[in-house]
Amino acid sequence: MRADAMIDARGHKCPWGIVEMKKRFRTMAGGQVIELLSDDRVSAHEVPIWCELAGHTYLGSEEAGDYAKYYVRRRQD
Amino acid sequence: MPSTMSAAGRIEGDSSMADKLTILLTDDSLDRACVALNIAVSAAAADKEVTVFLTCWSLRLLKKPGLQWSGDHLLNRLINLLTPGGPERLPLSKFNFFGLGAWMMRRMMAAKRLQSIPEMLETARELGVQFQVCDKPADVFGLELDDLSVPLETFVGAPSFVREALQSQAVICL
Repeated sequence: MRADAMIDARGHKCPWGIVEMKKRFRTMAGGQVIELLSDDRVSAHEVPIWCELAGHTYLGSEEAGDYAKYYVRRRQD
Repeated sequence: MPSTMSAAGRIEGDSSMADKLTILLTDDSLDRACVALNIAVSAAAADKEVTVFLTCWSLRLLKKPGLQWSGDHLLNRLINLLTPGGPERLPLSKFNFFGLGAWMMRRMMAAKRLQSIPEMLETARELGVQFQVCDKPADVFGLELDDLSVPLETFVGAPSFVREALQSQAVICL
């Protein structure tokens, strides 16, 4: 899946990844997509919940060996 | 009406209304401070308004690091001396063993690349988490605003917590 920005959160635990996405979204336009790389075992559960709470759109994930890629579309302000 | 947390940890109720969260922290332990800051940072990262109200022993979390001989009475000066400030000096609520348990916990947190308390505090402030410090324990301990590591305009009283709580969709007490 094509993304406008990538955050490598491998090795970090929740909520580091969503905090970094929150910071990055400040500089991005509505509709743009972040790719989050994470090997945190709760990311598959927590990233969609964070999207629900913050109003972003969770686009899904892709397995990539020992980690996964999560895709989130920024909400329109 | 405040939402309740179910066993699954999901906020029940109308999530679109869940815009404000208040956390009441009364304890000075490393573990509860971790929980409070973790929840505060996660909520703030989801664009929720978050207030952390600190009272009783939890003021130690925001005390400047190091030993302090501050206070207006021998007893509160002694308490300040015996409860050194700074997030790096917080004890564990259980298995502290005179600081050995807390030291081990910090080592394990670092090994797992978890954020330390100072890092979580910095992230919380960066994301706009508001800290309110109760005046009563500050007065009892003889602490002034200058004794805190977080810049605050004023100490507050219990009515401030009541207002924050009533304006919040969820209140968490630790």
